[in-house]
This record gives sequence, structure tokens and C-alpha cells, in this order.
Amino acid sequence: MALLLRKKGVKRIRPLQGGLHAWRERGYPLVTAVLS
Amino acid sequence: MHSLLDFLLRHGYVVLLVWVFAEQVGLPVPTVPLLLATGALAGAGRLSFFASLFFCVLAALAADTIWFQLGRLRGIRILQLLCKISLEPDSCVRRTEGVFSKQGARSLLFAKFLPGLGTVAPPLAGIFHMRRRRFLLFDSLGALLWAGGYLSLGYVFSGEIERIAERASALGGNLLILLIASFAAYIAYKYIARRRFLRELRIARITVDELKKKIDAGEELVIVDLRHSMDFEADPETIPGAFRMDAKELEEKSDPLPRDREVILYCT
Repeated sequence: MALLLRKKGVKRIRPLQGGLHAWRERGYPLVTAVLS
Repeated sequence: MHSLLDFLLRHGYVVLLVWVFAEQVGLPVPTVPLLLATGALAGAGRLSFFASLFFCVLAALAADTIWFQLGRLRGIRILQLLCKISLEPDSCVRRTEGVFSKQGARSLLFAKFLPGLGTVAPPLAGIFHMRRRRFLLFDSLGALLWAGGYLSLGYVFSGEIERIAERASALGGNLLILLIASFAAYIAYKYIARRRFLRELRIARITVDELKKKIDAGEELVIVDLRHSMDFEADPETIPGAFRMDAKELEEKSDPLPRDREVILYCT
């Protein structure tokens, strides 16, 4: 995905270390979204 | 090919069992030439077609059941493990999720014909809690079609394969060395290219603490939840301010995201 974005000209790409799992483990807030 | 035929004749079905199992577990070993060669030997009456088919299906089913169980037990994290094994992890996982969301259990029937996808489909079936009996039925049929198809091809073209083997033999061991070297070079190239790109990304990674600070400071960020719709449905919680965009949408849009802002990507 990151490679694809770079090919499309997006340069400042920053993957989130640990992803959603790490965010959740730190106890940071989450919101429930509905799939459109 | 001639050496492969000799090797197969010497060690028979054990080779088939181990080789097919290794490939289905996710190791990058080419199985199609082995199945064709086995089919050719069956055509020449030197191996049993149905015994070969049985061992292939057994090996595939054993490996797939392990992945299925791991998918059930470990959930989406098991795909992260597959990412480490596969040579084309991102596209392979993405494509399989796409196929799986459209076809469901039927995707198990043809997943093995698409390189890499055969390994990802069983854990996905486990992740999405497909019933075990249904999984075993469709996976067995898929393995039967896959192994049966290539074995039959080898069986039908047995004479031609023997001739190719004889010519290859006439060229000596150099051909085998060339083939092995080409395969090793291909794997090395893919591995190095991937490591290089991952190193670049690793340097740019953002920690969750850093992201939280940026959000609290009101920085203008673009946060993208890259999970596939199936993963998202299974766990609809997301980071505040993030929007979901999967690979398909990204590929279709020519200008998907603003280029002047930091783009934070995350998945599971």
C-alpha cells in the first residue's frame, strides 16, 4: 500500500508502528465507525 | 527434469507428501513441475496416479488445516505471520481478501491455482469462522482439482515430458544448475527489494505516542485505516479522525490523498 501511494506521488508516508493493536494497547481512544 | 524423474522414482510418494506440504505451508518451492513429472511417471506406468493424487491432497489438506486452525485461534494476526513468509505479501493478502469477500468458500476451489493465494485462503477461512466441515469439503475439492489437474496434464503429455527430460539430460547437469541458480537469483532479488523498501518505511515510522501528541496538538494529518472491509466489519473500532480506504479504492483513484500533509497509514 505504501509503495502504491508513493507511486501516486504521496511522499510523506508514515506507517504507524504496531498499527491499531498498539494504539489499543496504550489505551488511547477509539471510535466506532460504520462501513459506508 | 530427468533428475527430478529419477529422484521421484527413488523416493516416491514421500517426496510428494513433503514437497506439497512445504509449498502449502508457504515455503517458496515450485510444486507444478513436480506434479507434472509425477503425472508423467503415472502415465508411463511407473507410479500410481490415484496414490499420487491421494498423497498430494493429504499433504495440502494437512497444511491448510493447520493454517485454518491458526486463523481461528489467532485471528487477523496470523496474516502478519504470512506477510513475513510470502515474497509478495501485500498484494497476495490483499488479492485473497478481495477474492474471499466475493466468493466465500468457493474461493477455496480455485485459490491454489493462483500463486501465493492458496496459502492465505485457509487462514482467512479460519479468521472468518467458516464451519470446519464446510472448510474441509471445499478445501478437499480445491486440492483435488489443483493436484488432479496438474497430474492429469502430466499424465496426458507423458511422452512429451519424457522427451523434454531426455533432451535436458543430454544438456547435462548444467541445465539443472542454471535453473536452480535462476530460481535462487529471483528469490534473492525479491527479498533484497523488499528489505530495502521496508528499511525506508521503518525509518519513517511513527509511534502511537507521537501520533497521539500530533492529534492532540491539532496538526493537520491524514490518517488512513487500510484494513479490508471484511476486517473492518469484524472490528469496527478505529482511530479518531481516520478514514478507511482499501487497496482497491486506492488503486482506482488517481489522486487519492493530499500530497502536502503527513499521511499516517495503519492496519491491524
